Amino acid sequence: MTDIRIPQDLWDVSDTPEGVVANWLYRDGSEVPARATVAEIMVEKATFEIDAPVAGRLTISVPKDGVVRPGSVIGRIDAT
Amino acid sequence: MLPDPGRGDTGTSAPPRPFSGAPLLRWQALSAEAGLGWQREAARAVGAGQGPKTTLCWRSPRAVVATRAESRLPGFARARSQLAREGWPVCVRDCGGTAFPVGPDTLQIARVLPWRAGLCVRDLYGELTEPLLRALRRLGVPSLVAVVAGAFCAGRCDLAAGGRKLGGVAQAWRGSPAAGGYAMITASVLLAGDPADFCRAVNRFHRGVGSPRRCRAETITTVARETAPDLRIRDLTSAFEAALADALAPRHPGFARPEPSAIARPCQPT
Repeated sequence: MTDIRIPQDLWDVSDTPEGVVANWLYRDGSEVPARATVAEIMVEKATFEIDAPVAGRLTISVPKDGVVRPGSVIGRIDAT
Repeated sequence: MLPDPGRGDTGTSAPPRPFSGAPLLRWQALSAEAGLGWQREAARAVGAGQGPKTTLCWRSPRAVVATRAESRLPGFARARSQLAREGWPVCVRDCGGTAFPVGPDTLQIARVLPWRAGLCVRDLYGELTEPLLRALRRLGVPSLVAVVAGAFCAGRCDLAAGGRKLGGVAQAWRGSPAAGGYAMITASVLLAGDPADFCRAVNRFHRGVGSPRRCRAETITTVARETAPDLRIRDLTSAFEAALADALAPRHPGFARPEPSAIARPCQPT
């Protein structure tokens, strides 16, 4: 299992503490290639893309519109 | 002034000028779909290290510009078809927020910078909101950055006058400082037009995709309404674009303000 984690320094939490998962680009349980963009995070009308760290089966742990912070784990990938 | 995309001027359907990577402040008139593509092309080039920071300005015939998240809602394809039949094609952008309208009398601005360590969301907003406020104030519009509840695509960094929205900003970040990437801020300024018409189109989109979100016309204003409603739109647009060029110039080292005639030529980079 490899976590899909929002990078710790993706945005400045002193300005905006939280963001939301705006989009999952693959369904829960899908096979995803390594480095594919799997999710989109939105912070104050700013979008950031989150890539798959490895190839494998995606498990979503924070659904669309879920609140997240830098460092949050939003899903996992079972390497295939 | 840019060619007028809503009144038969040239440039409306022309493909965007290829991005060459030169440090530029560029002006163009094209379709909304092509304008968004032009932004993506410039952003990719900056992110790949093929160009320095760049600012693009464009206007287009009317369209509703939705987010990628909205494009994945179940009713999106149907809403897109319906609005296209009504003369409001729907395009999809990379920046955040929610759907907003564009048209011949709205100006789109995109500024792209390499994503460097230390660049933050707030500072990037300042890259466009500060010059836009300077340009608006030069035209006599007492504007400020504020959220306008009830407006389309409402956000904390909206441009407002008299408590009503006359512009919005949003961002897209791709890549990372270590691996290379870009940070893009976009703005849409309502120079003129009917707020009720804008809101009707956006609300039809929201209804079509099954969203409960609605906007209200009384929360929207335009530069024309805040300055001189009887001023010719072309004169107002020309004045705003010249003021914006002046306000952006310090952010483009080596950039000199173009002669008004240079801005007036269709699709000419400056």
